[in-house]
Amino acid sequence: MKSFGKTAMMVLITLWMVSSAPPVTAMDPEDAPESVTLDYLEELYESVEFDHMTHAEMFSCADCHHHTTGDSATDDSCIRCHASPETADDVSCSGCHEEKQSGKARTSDGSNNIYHIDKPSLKGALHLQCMGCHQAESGPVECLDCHSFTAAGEERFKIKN
Amino acid sequence: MPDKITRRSILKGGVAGSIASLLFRPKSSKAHQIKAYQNSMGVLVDLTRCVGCRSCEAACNAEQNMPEPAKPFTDMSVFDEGAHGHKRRTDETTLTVVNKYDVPGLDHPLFRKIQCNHCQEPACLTSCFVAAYTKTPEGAVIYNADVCVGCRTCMIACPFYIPTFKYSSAFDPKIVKCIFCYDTRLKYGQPPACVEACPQEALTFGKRKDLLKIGRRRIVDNKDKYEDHIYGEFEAGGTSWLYLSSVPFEKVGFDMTLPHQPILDSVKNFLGMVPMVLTIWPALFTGFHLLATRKEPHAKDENTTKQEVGE
Ligand code: SF4
Ligand code: SF4
Ligand code: SF4
Repeated sequence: MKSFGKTAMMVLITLWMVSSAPPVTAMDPEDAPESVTLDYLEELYESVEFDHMTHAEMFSCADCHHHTTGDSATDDSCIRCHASPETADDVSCSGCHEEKQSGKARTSDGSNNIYHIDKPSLKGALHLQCMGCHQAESGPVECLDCHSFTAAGEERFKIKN
Repeated sequence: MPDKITRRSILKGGVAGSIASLLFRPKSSKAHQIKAYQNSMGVLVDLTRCVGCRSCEAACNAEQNMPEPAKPFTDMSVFDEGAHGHKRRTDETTLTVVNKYDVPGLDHPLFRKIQCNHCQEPACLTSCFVAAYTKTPEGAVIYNADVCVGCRTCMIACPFYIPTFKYSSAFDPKIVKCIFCYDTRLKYGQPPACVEACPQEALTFGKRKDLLKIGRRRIVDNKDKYEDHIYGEFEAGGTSWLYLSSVPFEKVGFDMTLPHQPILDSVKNFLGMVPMVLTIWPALFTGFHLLATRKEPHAKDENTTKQEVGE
């Protein structure tokens, strides 16, 4: 409990320091990467070049990046902590979303003050973002629209050549 | 393949069960206090996320060394295969299948993956008289095929029609069903193969009690997106695999008539009847026949009555 108090204090101090720092403006889309290589599914699929710039030109950063890029959060639950729109140090998806589901949901420590209890893995986060929008905006939605199989992938899905 | 209606009706032999429960009250009925393993794991299946890609089926096939399917897992024509509106079922070649549902009023289809739900109080286990089944502390319902005598009682007892049989040898049929990847993954705390393969994280692996919290949170946080119900929280006494849906569960093939107490109750009573069966067989048979030919709404009434009697 003691160490919890200490940690809470540290967090408060950090928060105070952060919130009293000069306001940072939202990231410019031009500063964002042209393209992002998604290669963490390489076992079954070839890596995917995600055309970040095209997407950045068509949509606002906050359409995909939660509160991290300097746009204000809009979700009621997020605003409670992320009301001030600073740019986070790491705005990449993989900065927060772990590569694999751990099965260790953060709900079991008895505390009510924990958030992000339902954070998808990187694969889930990317697909949920992409598919959600692609379905709504009639973008490509078939697996093979974006992915191509490796030999292992063809074997897994029993593609007969 | 046994006729669906007959199997259901036998289950609804709830009626037979209620007769039995009236005649032969178990000495101490603890069935309602679910003493499930506190830290057992489960999977939360979110139907709003599933896109029917069949990656889970492919992963299961590889993980469990199942036979080569007739069509590749990229072939979506399998969704239209079931004749007369029947959906695909698990069989000796596949431990899990995804089915497609066109729900009136929705502009896109919904998909539902089925596999063993790893019940808290499994009817398959309770009904098996050679004790081939085990419920592990991790939550999996596994079985020992060497002990199985192929009597198929579990097939009839399971409220979700999951166990199937391998008929490779006519004299030695063996039970086949999803084992939650117990041997290769769950035992080591790892998510099952199908969960890991799912691109949409429609399948979330975690402690059952945490998944219930996550499920409730999704329902509350996404107003109007979900039905206010987590299927499997209570159905059949509770299952390790839990479901969220955006449409009423019966529209995507879930049985909403299942009692909330473990099926074990009726099965136990049913088995308790076996000696009696010998004497009143003809009457009983007529009863089963009547049950089998009953219409659904009636069957529902029966179910309610059974629940009340069972309380
Ligand atoms: S779903 Fe059926 S096979 Fe699986 S544990 Fe429950 S009763 Fe047994
Ligand atoms: S848990 Fe394992 S055995 Fe069961 S359906 Fe998933 S991959 Fe197959
Ligand atoms: S892998 Fe996931 S999204 Fe694909 S069919 Fe299975 S449950 Fe649905």
